[in-house]
Amino acid sequence: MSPPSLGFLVGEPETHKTGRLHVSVHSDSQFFLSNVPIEIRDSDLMLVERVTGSKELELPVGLYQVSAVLNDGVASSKLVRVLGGKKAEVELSTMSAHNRPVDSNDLYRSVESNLTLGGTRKGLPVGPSDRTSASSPMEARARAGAARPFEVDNDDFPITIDATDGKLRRLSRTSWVFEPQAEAKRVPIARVRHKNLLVTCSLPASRESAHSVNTCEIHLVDSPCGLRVRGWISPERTVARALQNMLDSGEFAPAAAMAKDGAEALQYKYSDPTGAALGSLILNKFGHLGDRKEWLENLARGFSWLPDAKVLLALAILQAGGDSARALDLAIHASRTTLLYTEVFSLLLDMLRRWPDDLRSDERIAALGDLGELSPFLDWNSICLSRVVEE
Amino acid sequence: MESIVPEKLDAPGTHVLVIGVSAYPHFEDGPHPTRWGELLGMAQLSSAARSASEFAAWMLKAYNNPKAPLSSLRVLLSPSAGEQMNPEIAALLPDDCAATSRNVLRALREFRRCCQPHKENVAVVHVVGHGVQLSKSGSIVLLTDCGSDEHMTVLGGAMDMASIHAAFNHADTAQNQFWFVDACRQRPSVARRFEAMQAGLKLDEPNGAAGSNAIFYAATTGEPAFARVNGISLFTESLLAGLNGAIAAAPERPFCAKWHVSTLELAKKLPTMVQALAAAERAGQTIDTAGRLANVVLHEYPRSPDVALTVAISPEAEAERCVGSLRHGQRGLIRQDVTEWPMQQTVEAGIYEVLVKLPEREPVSLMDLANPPVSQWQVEVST
Repeated sequence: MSPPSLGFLVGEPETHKTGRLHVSVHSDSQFFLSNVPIEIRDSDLMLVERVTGSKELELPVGLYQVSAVLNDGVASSKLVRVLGGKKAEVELSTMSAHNRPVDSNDLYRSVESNLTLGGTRKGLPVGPSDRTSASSPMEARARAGAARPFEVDNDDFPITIDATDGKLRRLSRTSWVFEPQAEAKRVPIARVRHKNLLVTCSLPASRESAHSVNTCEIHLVDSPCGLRVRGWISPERTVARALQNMLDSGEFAPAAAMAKDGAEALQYKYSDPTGAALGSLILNKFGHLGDRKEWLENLARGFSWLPDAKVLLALAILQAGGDSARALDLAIHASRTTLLYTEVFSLLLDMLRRWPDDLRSDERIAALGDLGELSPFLDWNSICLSRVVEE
Repeated sequence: MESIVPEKLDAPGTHVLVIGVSAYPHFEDGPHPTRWGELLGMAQLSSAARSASEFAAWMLKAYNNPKAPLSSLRVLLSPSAGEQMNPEIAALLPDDCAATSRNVLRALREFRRCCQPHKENVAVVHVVGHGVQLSKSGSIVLLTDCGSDEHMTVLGGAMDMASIHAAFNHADTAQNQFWFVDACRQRPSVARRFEAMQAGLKLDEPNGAAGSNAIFYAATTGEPAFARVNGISLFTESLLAGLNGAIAAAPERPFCAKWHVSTLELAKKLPTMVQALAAAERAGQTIDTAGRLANVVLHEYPRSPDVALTVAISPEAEAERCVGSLRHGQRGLIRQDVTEWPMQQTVEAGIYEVLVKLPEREPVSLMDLANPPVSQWQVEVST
């Protein structure tokens, strides 16, 4: 293998003013291979082109940034040197660790900082013409002090965990896999007890049939307020997991792009209603819920155990100026069962607080009161509805 | 409530409403305590009004949006005793600028009138004070007369931010909106009492939807996290740092040909920045982003933001033998024959490469991003 050219660095005369750049994404998911937008930026960081799938471009000689938000939910980027008359190749992929369950070792692993406020980079001997910076959302949040794995001092750590409607398999000292055991009748819940603290967390899992099992993970994390519990979609559910990762890391634009194409597939092709509901939630952030009303009807009807679908449908009906009596019926019905997503809870609370007419106001106020009892104890940082109570 | 800059309504512009409340005279520790004020169980703040004044000052001095220049700026402040306001804003304030419910209602009316004429208008609202956050997308912010016996309810002197936000969520007003609500989230024992209560200050909510109306709620889990005493709130500090370059997004034609701050960059980066700042204070703070997130530009930087780039050699002992050069990825040489390390250079944001030569060694290079406002690189020269 010939040593890399140092032409750009040492001022070697360039006979060609342009070179070629081939970009691609490495992923096990066909959806990612063909749908992820890849950005190419020049040395002033001006966007040169945004492509999907693999593509070859002719570019002026220089340094470029190639980036994409992959299934770990954060922007993965590489810097590449395009040399005159030559072809450079960049393949973006998530680090293998990001597709594994998060455990303490992953979270405490040294990660190069790419925080906005500046970071330290270490130089490499001249060699590879590109470098990678990537981190998982939980790592990013750990850096920000938002969520670290809960510290487990020893094997006799005084913690108990159980879950409804399924069984738990331990992944690490602070994380478990939840496998639903029966056909879904309600949103499953994990209960974690530590000292005088009881944390419950709705789980993004379901068993729709013998052929469709959607597992999820449960992680204990440390926050400035103490132990918290996070329900997380399993890595095998690639698209749904990516949606949750992107939502967690604030990558709303790629999340919405993916939800637009992927959420319908989650519902029909993969029978993943909890992933589909998450996709709808993301679409709502961009005002696209109304476009999917018929689809939400199917989600609410087909997965009646998932109250989040009813809330989203009620919201879509209201936004479209539709039948408010039906929307209220859906909302009140949903308020009587445990919701899956915190943001859906929030939407329901606000919808009931600011209902546009006086229809069934006693029932509405009663529903509001029930939700209001719960809301002060919610962990608003958790994507899945989680309640923290000191017993 | 008049604007502190000349109001311009004949062309699309940016209209700003800033409210900051530190003084709560009717609270238990205030000069005129009331039963309702005591019931609220809250104390005076020391930095909310100052935080709001600093944000207003940034809008006045640094804000740049060529498609919608600053066209009105309304500021209502109720500082606590001894709280220092930004002097440039303080000098422009009218006599009665207290953040009372009466003044806020008047300012909201005027602000709404200003936002209406052009859909291309940008509306910016920044509110700081005590609050009760009820959900991820709704909170009540207490105004300075909250608890007064003149109100009909305990929350008579409070703003329902979700309702006010909803009142601007329609097609016949500024379609590009940015809302920042910087308020404490109260302890469950306090919040629980207000879940079913209605705040006094609400507006009619028309049908329809605005193009983009992101609302960023800062909520702390306890008052110590709200702000450094006599400083500015952690949220506003992060927001200003972000606007001053830390959340600058690179150019992207045709969306924006210059470095800029947009809805989605705020949504992506502001929570992490605030959490990092709060964590440094050993506190928890969440940022909840609600509203419609269509991506629009808030602020354009007139030129590429400067980056204070520092390049260090590791191990440090080798530095005296190193000779380096710094090149921009396309424009070429910036500095050469550098022998003083760490090298410090102000550069425009972009991709750069450092080449370090040592006697009888292969040269070592590092190419990386110089991100605003500060980038620190370390070149490893050990074999």
